Amino acid sequence: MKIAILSGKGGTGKTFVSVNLSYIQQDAVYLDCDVEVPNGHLYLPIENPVVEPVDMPIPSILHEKCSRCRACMNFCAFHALSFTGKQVLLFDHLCHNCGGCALVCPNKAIQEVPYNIGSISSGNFEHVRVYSGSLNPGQMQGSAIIRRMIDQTRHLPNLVMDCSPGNSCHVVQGIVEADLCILVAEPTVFGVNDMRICIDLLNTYNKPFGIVINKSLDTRNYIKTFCREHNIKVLAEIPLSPELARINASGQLAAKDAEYSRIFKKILKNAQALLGPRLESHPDSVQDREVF
Amino acid sequence: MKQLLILSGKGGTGKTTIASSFISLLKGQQKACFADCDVDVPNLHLIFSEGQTMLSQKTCFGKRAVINQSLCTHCGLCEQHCRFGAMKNGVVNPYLCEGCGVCELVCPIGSGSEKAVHLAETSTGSYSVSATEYGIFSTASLKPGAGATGKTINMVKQNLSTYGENAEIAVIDGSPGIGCPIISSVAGVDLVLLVLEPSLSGLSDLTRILKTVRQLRVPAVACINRSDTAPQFTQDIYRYCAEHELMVLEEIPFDPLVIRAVNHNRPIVDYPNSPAAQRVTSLFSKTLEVLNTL
Repeated sequence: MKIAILSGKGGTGKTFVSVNLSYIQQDAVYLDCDVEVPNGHLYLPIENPVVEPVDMPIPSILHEKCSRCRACMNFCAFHALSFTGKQVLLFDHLCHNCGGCALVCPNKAIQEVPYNIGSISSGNFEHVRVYSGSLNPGQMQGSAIIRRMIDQTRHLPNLVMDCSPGNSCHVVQGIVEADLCILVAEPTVFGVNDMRICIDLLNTYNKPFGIVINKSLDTRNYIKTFCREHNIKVLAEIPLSPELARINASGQLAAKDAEYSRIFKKILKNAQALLGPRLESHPDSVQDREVF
Repeated sequence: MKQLLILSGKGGTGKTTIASSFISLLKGQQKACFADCDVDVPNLHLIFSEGQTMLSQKTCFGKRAVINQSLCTHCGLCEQHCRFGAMKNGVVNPYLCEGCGVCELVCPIGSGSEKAVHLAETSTGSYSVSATEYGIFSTASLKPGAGATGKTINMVKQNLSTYGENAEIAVIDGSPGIGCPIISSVAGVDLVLLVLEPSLSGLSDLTRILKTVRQLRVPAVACINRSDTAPQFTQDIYRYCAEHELMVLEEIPFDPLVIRAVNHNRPIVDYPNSPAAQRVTSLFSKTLEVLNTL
């Protein structure tokens, strides 16, 4: 089962749920898709990681071949190329690496050269296979790192994809790949607001999803009310507990404790139930239901 | 106008709690304006909802590829050239498309906007400006998955400068992470306030956000939120900040009243007896002092 863990709001506990959900499974592969601020590796430290640099092709202008026609500049949708009056100049942080400028140049004066934007570390922590993408500080676009990680693990049956907060293209890549999504939400007004935005996104993909309520309080629980009203499945509720907070803050796995591991087993069981027999009888059914 | 941007790297550390309190404390002190640059999941409007609309819900646009199925021959050239994985079996995934136009360029069928694959304007979200009792408020809301984050943030900040031109100070609430939205938010601000969280993750994310802010050459100061929940990490943060010449202006203790304030759409400083509110007030005056020296 391929699971994408999402939240909308930051700091609700995506990584907390993801690493522990990976740990309680025998053959899970954990993917840290929050490449801007990856933290999964702190809980699942890889023994002897293989570090693969991720390069993106960026244009390099061969000025002697350039006829100054400005076709590249006019094509670039991201305004990454400009003309100084004498030559074409690249603003590399604006480049989205689409390759259009090299294609459109009539003089073959643009070559693409590799430019390092980050890396992927992979290896094992105990029985968990871990992939951790990391974007270099100062770089704009981490999508390519996520894409590379997903390409490398697409053939594996059991993925836990720990996505970034928000609803950007980074998150979409995880959703597209997932059989089902788990939304980790906290029961505050901010939490409900951000969860609703994320649900809108999930509904456009017609993906099955459930909610994990984290830092749950006994007082008025906005998420529970919302889920009841909208007929959304709550997979589990994790209480606001100083002990859990302490374990998680120090980079420990809560699931190593038999008592706490039950929470994550319950999440997994209820998540599997969301897919139900459909997945077993028609292995491709989830793929077929994707709506773009 | 001096601009203060609130960032964190890690999500959920308390950016909006701090930002909303600063905005509230500025009332009656200085002429202020404020903006929400967390355009993916904006929250500031939940607290400052009332105001006179200056610029209402204008739609912003971005370009996305569309396929004219009656012309498409399924030659596969667009899929082969698209580097964003947005083309699959003759169907565009608009959430992955970045609007670069390479598909249109390589499509052999038709010409111009009559090509089998071409770019078309689509709505990516909306932005608005309102005059509140706290000052001009500029915000935006992206359609989920629409992309165009950087462009939308630039628009929010441009609106803030235009409508808030008479203000002496601007408070800008940022988003988590270190990538595109952050870099767009940081452009042109005078000071970044980092809201840090004492945990192993918080410490790791601090190293990344500080590197990013330093590369952009903007001065930064910090505060530690919920500092009493993991004192050993609070000490680690102090050590890291000292080594990297990042000034920690204040520690804010964990305070259940903060959750209550959020759930009542109020800034925490509206609860004067709250221990967190007292520290946030002190953080506010220290931050202003730093900002005034810049």
